[in-house]
Amino acid sequence: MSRPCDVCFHNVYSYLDREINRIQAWRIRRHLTRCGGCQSAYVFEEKLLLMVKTRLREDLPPDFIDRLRRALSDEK
Amino acid sequence: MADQATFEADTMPLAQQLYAAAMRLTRNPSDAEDLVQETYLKAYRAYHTFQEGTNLKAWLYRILTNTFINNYRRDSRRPQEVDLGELQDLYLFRRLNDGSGGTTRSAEDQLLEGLVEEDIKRAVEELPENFRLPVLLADLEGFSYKEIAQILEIPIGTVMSRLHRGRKALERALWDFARQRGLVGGKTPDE
Repeated sequence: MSRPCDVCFHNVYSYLDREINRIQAWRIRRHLTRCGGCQSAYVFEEKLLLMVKTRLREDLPPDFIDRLRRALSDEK
Repeated sequence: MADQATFEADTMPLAQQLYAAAMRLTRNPSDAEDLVQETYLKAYRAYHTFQEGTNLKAWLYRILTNTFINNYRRDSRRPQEVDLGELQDLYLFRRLNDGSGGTTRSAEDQLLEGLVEEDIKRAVEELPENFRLPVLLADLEGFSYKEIAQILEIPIGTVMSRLHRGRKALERALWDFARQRGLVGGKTPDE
């Protein structure tokens, strides 16, 4: 694996979280247009993070909001 | 004391997200409900100290995480720093590529679609607390690294390190679940 691929792999989370500086982001984007392997990896990681977010959602228990409102009213 | 109607209008839309985080922290619905309710009561009492225009969601999460740390940990002692060992970048992607001469889009999609809600929730719950909190705040709630640093009162470099290591550990756990479900072949290499 080449050095640009290593840099890409190492920075995948910072890039997807948009927590990387503009020049680094530009370098990564440029590399992704030239390297199918890294591009596949980034697409996969992005899908993975979205899947995790979606499957961590919870429905509120029945009447949860009513109980919360009552607790706040009792607090007055 | 803040006007209850104003407080409710501002904060109730966040209840479902707070509950989802509370579930992964406490690992049971009853404690999660208590944790969220206690968070709302504390927030209501302190609402006059909240500065309008600042980040209400981050403020509520700070109360939630502090309340969890102080009152809901099964073990009230400060958790030990857990060493997750050496973890590769892109753990799952690399495993999918190992030995097959390259993965296919369908193998990746099969893994992503085949892992069920229970697998993801268990994998997150099994993360050591130091790693679980940043992972939840980033991946469930979408907070920035700076916001997570403010919520957890830790340096931003620590947030980045724990979040990235936590995600890699999560990927390793998901690989194990995928193998158990027969979604992928191969072994989990010792690392």
